[in-house]
Amino acid sequence: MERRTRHIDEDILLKYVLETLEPDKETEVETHLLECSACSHEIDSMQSDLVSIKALEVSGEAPMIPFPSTYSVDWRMILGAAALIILGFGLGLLTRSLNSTTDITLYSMAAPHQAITMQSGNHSTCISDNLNIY
Amino acid sequence: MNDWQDYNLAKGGDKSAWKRLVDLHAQNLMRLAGMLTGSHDLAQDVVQEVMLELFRKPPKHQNGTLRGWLTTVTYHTALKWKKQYAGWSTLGKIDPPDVNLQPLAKLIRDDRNRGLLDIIHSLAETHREVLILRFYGDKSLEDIATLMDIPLGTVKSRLFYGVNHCRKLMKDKGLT
Repeated sequence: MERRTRHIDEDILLKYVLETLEPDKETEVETHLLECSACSHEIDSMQSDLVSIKALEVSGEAPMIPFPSTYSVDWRMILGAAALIILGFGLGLLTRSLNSTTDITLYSMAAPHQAITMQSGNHSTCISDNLNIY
Repeated sequence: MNDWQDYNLAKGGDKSAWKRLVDLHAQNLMRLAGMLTGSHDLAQDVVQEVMLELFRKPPKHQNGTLRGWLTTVTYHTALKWKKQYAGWSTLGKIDPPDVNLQPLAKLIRDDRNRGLLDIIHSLAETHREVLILRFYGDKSLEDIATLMDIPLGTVKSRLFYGVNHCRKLMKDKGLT
């Protein structure tokens, strides 16, 4: 026979089922459920509804998803292209630097004074050094 | 073997690991994407996109579960595409990329499932999203709060109102 006549509010019971109650209230509900079959029955009904909602089967066929190998190949190609660009840029700089040195030497040998007027900054210092040697 | 291991194997070129990943996750993601978009075709596109994202924008770390990562990306992608599609549809003069999107409800032959789907889709969008993430995305309340950028208390109240509303309508329609 039921000893308690006061039942727990339905909203509180639903919050308990949804695990959204504060821990102290949760304990209170659990203690009550041990003694109240009506509230326990209500909890069962709520849980059954939740099971129905969760079990809803709506999905159609999942799409065919092929192994995305193309993406990994793409990344390799991109990295390769980047490496080529950097290499090309480096070679370009090196060539330019070599040409520049050749020019300085030629200027220095042919017309030292003209070379000084045509160069500036570090280059001109370098040429001056060359002139001193000559 | 956990699914991160399969993911790492797949990244290294193991096709059977990739197949295991797809078999394990694609169907669940279909359900989540379908519930979020309300469209079967859009859900298929979303799932395909999300699975390929694994290679294009790999997870930054492997602390959580792969399923958690996939459901989070599915949530964002589904909402983005749904919004884009709604935008195309309302433009009127411009045809959306696929004008024959199959509504999810049309695929469901079972009356009970169709009834439940109608009920869930009758919820306010904010309540519906929380309910879907909780029950079909297996997200914790804390994860939902982070994902939707709302306080934990708001998640709890939205879930409560969503489920409460569903229960009332289920009773009305004799689905309990």
